[in-house]
Amino acid sequence: MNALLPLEDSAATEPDDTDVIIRAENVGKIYCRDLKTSLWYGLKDSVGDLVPGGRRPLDVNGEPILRRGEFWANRGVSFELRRGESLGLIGHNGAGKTTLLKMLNGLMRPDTGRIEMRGRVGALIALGAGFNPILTGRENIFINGSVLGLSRKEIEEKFDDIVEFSELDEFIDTPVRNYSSGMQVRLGFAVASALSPQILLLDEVLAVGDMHFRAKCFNRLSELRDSGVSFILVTHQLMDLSRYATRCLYLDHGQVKADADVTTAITRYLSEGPARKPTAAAEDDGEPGTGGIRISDVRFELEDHLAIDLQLTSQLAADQEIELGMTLTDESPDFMQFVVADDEAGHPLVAPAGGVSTLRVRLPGIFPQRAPWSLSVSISSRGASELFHKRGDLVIPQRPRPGHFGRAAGAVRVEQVLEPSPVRTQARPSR
Amino acid sequence: MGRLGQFMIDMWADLLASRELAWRLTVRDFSAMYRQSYAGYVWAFLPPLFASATFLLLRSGGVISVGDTGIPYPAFIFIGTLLWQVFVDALNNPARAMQTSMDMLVKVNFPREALVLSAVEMSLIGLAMRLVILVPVLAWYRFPLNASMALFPVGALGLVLLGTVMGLFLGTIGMLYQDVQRAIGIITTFWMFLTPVIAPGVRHGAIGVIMRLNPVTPILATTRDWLTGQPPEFLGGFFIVMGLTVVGLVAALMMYRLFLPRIVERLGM
Repeated sequence: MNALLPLEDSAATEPDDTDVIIRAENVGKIYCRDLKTSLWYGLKDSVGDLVPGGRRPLDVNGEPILRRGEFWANRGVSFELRRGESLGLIGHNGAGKTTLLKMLNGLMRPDTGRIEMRGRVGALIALGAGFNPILTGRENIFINGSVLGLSRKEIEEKFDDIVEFSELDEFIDTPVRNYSSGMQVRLGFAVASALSPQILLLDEVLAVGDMHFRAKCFNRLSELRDSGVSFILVTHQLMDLSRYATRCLYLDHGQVKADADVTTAITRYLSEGPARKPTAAAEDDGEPGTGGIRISDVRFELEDHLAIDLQLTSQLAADQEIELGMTLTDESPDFMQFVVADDEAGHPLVAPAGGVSTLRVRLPGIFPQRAPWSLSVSISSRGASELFHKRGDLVIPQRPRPGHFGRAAGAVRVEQVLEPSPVRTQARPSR
Repeated sequence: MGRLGQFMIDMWADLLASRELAWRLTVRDFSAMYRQSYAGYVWAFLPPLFASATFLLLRSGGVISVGDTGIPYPAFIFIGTLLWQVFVDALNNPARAMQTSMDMLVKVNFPREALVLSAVEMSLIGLAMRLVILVPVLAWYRFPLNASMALFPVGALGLVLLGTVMGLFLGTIGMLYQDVQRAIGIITTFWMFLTPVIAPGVRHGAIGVIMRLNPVTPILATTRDWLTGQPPEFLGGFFIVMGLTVVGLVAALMMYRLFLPRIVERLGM
């Protein structure tokens, strides 16, 4: 672990290098698909570290030779992050984002290359680590704080702030077991964000909690960002990227495909289709689809209502009756889902054979609470027996002008699947 | 110097750095253990009490026969089972600390040595609590105060250390393969009968050989002899085992530090 502990915040002030707070050079990590084999390799490697000449064999390039069942979860990842910069990691599931984050957090050692970090590293990854449900919130603040590396004195100094932020004042001497899951997250976030790190690692932590507290979390994060904390965040919420990242690494199959500004990287990410062969263990939603019909372009129009134009490209030999699935989410747990199979005249939606067509979808006046939203769209055969294509995480930057949406500004929560009736669609084959 | 030297220095530094966290974890586990219990600390005393009662009954019924113990048999067996309990606690605590902290290990970067320190602290607290009941037992049987009693803490600490070292080895491998945990549970019961816990050491036969090779034998017997003012029968063995234990402690810590991160990263990937 020592190899990865952050270097002491060096007092040295060489003009060149002090700005670099993270340097990763040719970082690689090898995983093994099968757990038992993996543990066996782990045992062998540990022993090999001790025995002279026991290290795993290298190929001519000095890289480890993969053994049976192994694959690269990260390979040749190099980047530098300077003070004031924040980095977003994007990529399909199994692209190696979380693995990279874990290495940056010092939880695992890279198999190749090296990582240097300067400054205190905080991680909003495991909220409430070490919580014991039988003990009170007060006791758990001290435990969680210690686990995250705060000294007793630091925790005592920050205790009131933590309690105030978590809004758990009257429950602070109640066992954590009696907290709702939202309250536990609040306490965990309050402790973790009291860490005053210089580098903050985030991995999709903000998907929980009620809306009021989430807003508070975002504010706290914005304060941290404005005070010069560097973020490294893994997220599928592309709108969080533009908010907290100044740069983006787009990872694919463990390798850096793009290291660019946020917009460029996202564009690359969205333009390259789903990962065809997911490599890592987690591969649940790597944008599946057989590809017979693809959503080749998506445009939004924000006039008196939200209209979405979907351009479909069919490679099928025959006209295909299709079904459209859409999910619209904002940063709260609320979401809207539509399934549409008929146009407004009641005719089935059809993607014409071997051609390009456009579908215009008008969304009804009930929306998740706050813009921006992310949208995922899927095209499948009517009856959903075959999924042709799915695009996730399209971003709609702002909500349509208010006024047309009646009570949408109130606390409307939409959580169930809506019937397609309020949706008007039009199939317009372009010839 | 080189890699090994640096490794040892880092290990030592992490051990020192983890003291505060270790104590925090110890307080957590200790409070949690007794928070939901009325009888509370009494539970620490009950196992040796009941074990003693069991064997007293067996002996009075003629089921077992025990040779000359030198001291009243109830005291012999009570002290024996109590010390055995101290050893078993020390044996189990490292594995327990690792298993219950799995979630933390996978997700948070903290000095791993804190778990070892916390396990030792838990064992020591357990020992201290058991001493509380030992005093009235000694008084009841009117054991005279004698100089060798001053050596008792040395023996008791040796017992904790021996258990911790074995527990560290087994616990680390137990993270890899759960079979280890199950085996320990079964073996400790059997092991007790191969240790002079409920009867004095056997000198002859296969059991005699096993008992003499059993590393717990000299430590436990010597500690009891010191406490009760008997001439220590296994004093030579005591020093040999203690020497090996100290070497073993360093080796166990090194193995823990080397293996645990690898195991955890593979379990939590």
